Amino acid sequence: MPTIDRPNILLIDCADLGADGLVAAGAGSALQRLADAGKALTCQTANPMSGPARATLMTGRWPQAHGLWTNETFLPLRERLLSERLAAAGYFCGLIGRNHLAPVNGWRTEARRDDDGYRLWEWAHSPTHRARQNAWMAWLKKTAPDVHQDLFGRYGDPDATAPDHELLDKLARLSPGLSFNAWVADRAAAFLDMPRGRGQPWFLVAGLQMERFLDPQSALRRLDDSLGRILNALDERGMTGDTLVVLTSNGVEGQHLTPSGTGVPLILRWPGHPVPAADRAMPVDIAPTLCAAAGLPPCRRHQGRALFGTTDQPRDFAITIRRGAADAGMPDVSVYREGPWWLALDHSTGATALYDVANDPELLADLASMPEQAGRVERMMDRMMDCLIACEDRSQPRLGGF
Amino acid sequence: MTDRPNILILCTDQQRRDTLSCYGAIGAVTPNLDRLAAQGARFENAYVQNPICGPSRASLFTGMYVRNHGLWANGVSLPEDRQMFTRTLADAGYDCGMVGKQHLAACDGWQTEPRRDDGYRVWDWSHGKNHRSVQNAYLKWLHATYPDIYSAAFPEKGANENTHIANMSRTGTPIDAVPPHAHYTHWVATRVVDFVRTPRGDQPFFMMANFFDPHHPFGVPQEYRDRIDAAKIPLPVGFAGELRTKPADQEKYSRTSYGGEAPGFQDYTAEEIREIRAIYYAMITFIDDEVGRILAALDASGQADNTLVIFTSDHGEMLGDHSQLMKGPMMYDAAVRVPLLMRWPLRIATDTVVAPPVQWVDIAPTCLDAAAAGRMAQHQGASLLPLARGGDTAGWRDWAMCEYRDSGIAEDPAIMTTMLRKGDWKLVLWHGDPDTDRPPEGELYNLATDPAELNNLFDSPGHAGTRRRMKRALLDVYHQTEDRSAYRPAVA
Repeated sequence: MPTIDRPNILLIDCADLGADGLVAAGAGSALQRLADAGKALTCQTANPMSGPARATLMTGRWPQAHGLWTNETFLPLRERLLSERLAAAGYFCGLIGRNHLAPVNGWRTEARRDDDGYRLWEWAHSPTHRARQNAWMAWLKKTAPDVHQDLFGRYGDPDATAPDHELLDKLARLSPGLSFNAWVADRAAAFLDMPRGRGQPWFLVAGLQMERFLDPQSALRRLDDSLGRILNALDERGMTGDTLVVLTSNGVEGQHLTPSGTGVPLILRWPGHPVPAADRAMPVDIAPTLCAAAGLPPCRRHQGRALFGTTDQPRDFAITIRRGAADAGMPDVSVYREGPWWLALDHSTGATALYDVANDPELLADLASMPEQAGRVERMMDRMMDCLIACEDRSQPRLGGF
Repeated sequence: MTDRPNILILCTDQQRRDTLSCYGAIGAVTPNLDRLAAQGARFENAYVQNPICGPSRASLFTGMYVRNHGLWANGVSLPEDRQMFTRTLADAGYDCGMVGKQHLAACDGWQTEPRRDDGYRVWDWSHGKNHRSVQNAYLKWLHATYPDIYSAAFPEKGANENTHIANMSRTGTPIDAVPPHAHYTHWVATRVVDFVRTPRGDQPFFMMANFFDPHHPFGVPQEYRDRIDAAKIPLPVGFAGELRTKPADQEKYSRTSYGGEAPGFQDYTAEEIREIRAIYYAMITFIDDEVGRILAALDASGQADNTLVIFTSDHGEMLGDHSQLMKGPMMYDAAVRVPLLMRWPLRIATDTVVAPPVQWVDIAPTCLDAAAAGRMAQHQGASLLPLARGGDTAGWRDWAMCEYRDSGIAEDPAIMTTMLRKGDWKLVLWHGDPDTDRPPEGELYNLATDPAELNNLFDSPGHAGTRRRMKRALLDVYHQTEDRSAYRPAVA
């Protein structure tokens, strides 16, 4: 008799990890080993902002449909979370790290939804987010009180809207074993040991982060170390064979939309199951994939498709939008990518830009105004419009002819 | 008299804009509506958000564009979390009532439309004349008041094919032609007059009066048909071979109407089409008479000066133009441009004409503005009162958008179209993959030189620049009309 008949599900959301992180991590990295044991798909974020992307991950819906259109916005109460669905199906659910389905600006403690299904809730938005309920900081205070005293002993400057350089410098020099990502790994291992019902499967959202106060290489190494520790924890408990691991990201939030910043890793590992036939997938596919793996019937409101158990290439197109970041100097932009071609619409200026990503990955040479590209620009706009319509929510059932 | 005005919306079904004399209709007999227009503001370019009843009305009540409110097709219920502005008016102290058809949920198969948290005290619901729901308030009234007429119109107990029979009927069903005093149009006005006369002290009222006419089937009491001279009404616009220059599905909508549910333009002789147009105008004249009765009741009760009266319709009717009848994915002005009149003697000057494009999503904010009831976060339109009061139009949008998402009779594969009217130009995209397996097609019209929309310039090499500009503008409008209503505390 199998110990469980439904897989455990480990969802690792790596904030601000771009798709090239997998390449940069290189052979022997935990990221690469995970990909080797499963499959890494090509994926483009629906929205690189932390909140909208996480809401897409948890609702299986496009940002245009789930309503959390920019950071510091409440996910409308009508939306249903993956954790909620899995908990209702009997899963033991936990969250460690970031959630970001409600405002956290002003260092406020995120208002937790009362129906999210989590039995373990160890919320910490980031290592610099000084909410009183930041669980990493609480852990640090308990584990290394001196270090905590050094970093956070003083009250934060009430006037500060961002962490000061002194703090960032101290965070950068923090012992890796005390880092935010290390805490996530530590708590993930503890989650695995929590008492559960007999044969009860679990679902864990573990939020690793590319720590911005480190140089990219160090940040990636730290993230990868923690990923390795989490995967080892599965191995040590003999859970690897029963666990579906999904690793993804929102893309890179704080920069202009580029192929490297909007491409996101999507790695799936489910031992004993054929890897997905698809080579590409969309962020909205993740929630339906996990629900299907848990044996749940398809959700009407999910806008993507399950990736396992089908030989079809799923419906696939690459649309990324960013909204409401004008204060950070980033206008509302919509991007449609098709093969090597990158069409970017700036909605504040009405500008249209076309780039050849294959030859110009940094998006330096805008080809939109070249006469020979006029046809391509128009054809891509047509296709983009049709794809935007495919992102619309038409999930309300039709109960009659009129 | 209270400060806050009464609000009376008179809403017809399937009435295109150019059917009132005040909009230049030739052969129409609409003296009361013309007078209403002269006493206030007439909007020249009012567009609905969808050419089909349910989705269009959902935009009226929620103030949201079709892809955001969720009622994407007839037969789909408005999601529970979408709020009707009538609830907000009721919360602000208004005495609210609804008479006639509402259509925010599936009504096929004689389903009774479920009530929502709508704020109405009075709910005289009747989906239509041939809709045999047990709760159909008009049929209940008819049965109680004129049992003989009821029995003559419905000799049987009723069958679900009634709707089909109504759609297939070429010159109306019996219930369409009953004597005026027993007719749906008269019943609506009677209920509205009763509501208007209800003593309510200082409390203001809101009334949503929904006429079913001039929606097909095309039938009318003979005395109204007699008031229309069919020979006066211009012939439908169109030319031989026109549909070969239009998206392919229009040919199908010419052969049969309503996605095959009703006879098509091509099933009728030219003379019969002429008669249909006359009947349609006669249905409107009947409504005009009844509107006159309602306005007289307002006058008689001394409430006219402080009542905002809005006259409009939920979408248009092809009426034989472009060799098509009724409605569907088509985005001609015939189908999506509607009458919009506003009279509020205390606040709106007589003979006001408003030229900029306005939309049905603007009506809910207008009512809340008039009632000083604030603004709802979900509202995507803006109050029309500044325009109606002759205010500066400089900051007003110069476009209107319409979204059809297989909204009428379901097709396989689905038909989806999007219209952008901007300045003199109209772009209509007939969408393709990934959500439907149809080849993408398009229409482009210059409404300044071709108001009848005969000359499709979409594939004209000389207009490629305009076509691209319009497509780009549509993507900006699409961005601008995303739903941003999720709660977001002020960011310091």
